[in-house]
Amino acid sequence: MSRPEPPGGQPIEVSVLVDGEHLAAIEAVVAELERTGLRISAVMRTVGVITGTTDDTSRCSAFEALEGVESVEVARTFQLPPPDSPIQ
Amino acid sequence: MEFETAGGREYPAGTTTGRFLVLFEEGTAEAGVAALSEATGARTVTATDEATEPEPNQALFFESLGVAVVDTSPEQMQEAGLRAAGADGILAVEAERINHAIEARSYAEEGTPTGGRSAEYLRGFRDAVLHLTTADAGGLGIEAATAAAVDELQATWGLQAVRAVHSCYSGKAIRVAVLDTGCDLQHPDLQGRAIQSRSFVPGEAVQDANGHGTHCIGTSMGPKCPPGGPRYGVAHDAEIYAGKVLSNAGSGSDSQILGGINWAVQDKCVVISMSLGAGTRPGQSYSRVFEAVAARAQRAGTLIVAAAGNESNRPGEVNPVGHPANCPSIMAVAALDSALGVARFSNRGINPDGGQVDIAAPGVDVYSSYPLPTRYRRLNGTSMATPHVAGVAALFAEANPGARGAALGQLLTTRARRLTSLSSADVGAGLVQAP
Repeated sequence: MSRPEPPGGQPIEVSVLVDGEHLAAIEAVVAELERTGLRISAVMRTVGVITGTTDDTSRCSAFEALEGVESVEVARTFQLPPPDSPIQ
Repeated sequence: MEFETAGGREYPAGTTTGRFLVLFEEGTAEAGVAALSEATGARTVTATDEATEPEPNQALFFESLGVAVVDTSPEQMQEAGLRAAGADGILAVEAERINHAIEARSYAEEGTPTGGRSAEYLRGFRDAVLHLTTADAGGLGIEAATAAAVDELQATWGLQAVRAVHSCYSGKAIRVAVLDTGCDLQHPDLQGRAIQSRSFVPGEAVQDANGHGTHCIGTSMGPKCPPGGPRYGVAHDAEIYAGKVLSNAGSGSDSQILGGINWAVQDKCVVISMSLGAGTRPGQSYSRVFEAVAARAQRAGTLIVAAAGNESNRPGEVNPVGHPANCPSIMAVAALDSALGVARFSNRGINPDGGQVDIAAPGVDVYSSYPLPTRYRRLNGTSMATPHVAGVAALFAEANPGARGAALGQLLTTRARRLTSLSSADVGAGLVQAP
């Protein structure tokens, strides 16, 4: 899928889905991602996701090629309407 | 008042037929039928043109509906019902109810041959099947529901429309996570409630300085008797899990939301309510990460419901269900107004692969709690519809300890009230209904 370009210079947040076979060995996947240049933000063991930041979206394909990684997505952002908006 | 019981549920005397109904899980009805026979001792017979009414100590299985009607002694009913409710393949057990709203219309009037079957039985069975599969809201009187919605002295129109006010369930001991802008922990209506909370927004406490989260928590789990106002909360005794994944300015990212989901699943929340989303384009697929996470959550016993999104402006402009509600394993919730029409802003199921609307709930002119000093506020949005569904899911979860994850979602849709004048692309299975 397309990966939106980040606003200039900001670190890019990514979500890494760990495949079903590597959930028990998630630490090894974390170590490989770190070695490949992902700065780890959180390891979510229950749902099998690792989040982190990188400066370069082109690294995503390198993350995705690692053993135990099912898919990598650049984090989307959410914005609620202002509180005084009638539609929420 | 006297009560009759089945499957642990109490009904006012005279409102049940004395039989009970068993709803089987899709695809595993065979196991459910076997479990039912074992629990009740009743012999299971498949319904045919000849066999249309259960004989004493018999369970009549309606294959096409996935429902059995069981005739057993009242003494056996409660115990057997309770045992059957926990068995594999069985989604729900309840007393067969007489629905007075449609009692006046006989089958003969509608041209259905009665073929010598007892009118009382046919009426009871039709009521029961309507209740379980909720075939058509038309016969239940949309006008009546609309008229009732105007009077909000006792309860909001939304709680009346989803029939939460008539439910004997409260969501007791069911954990419901609302992933949003946090919660006003000082709100007087929430005092005395056990609230678990965590912030996934760097540098911000759970305390809700936006208002959106407090409103959604109010709708899903607000109190039964708020001081000096109508009831607005569905599952008034559920355990509140307030996860702050959106900042006080209303912004957040996938990472924060995934963190909130991970926390809620780990803490065994049965339902996660997410009144948030990002718009999608026609043709756009769903997030592989969120889909896998939602499927894993379901397998761990957690159902995720999310807002379909407000990017439409009907009738001229309709937009597809947003992210992450467009994931196949996340239930997408559309918004209805008090006349049970689609809210003009509510998105439509346009994209394939999970991009459909699954269910609808009240989302226009929704009164609920708001951070002090405002205290209460009326808001509109699929954000307001979503916590109605989450609250009703908690009621179903309390009533059906065996139904979790995907099975709980299936209960919500099979028991929804069909809205035949509307497109399922807009409202999915219809208006969510409390058990």
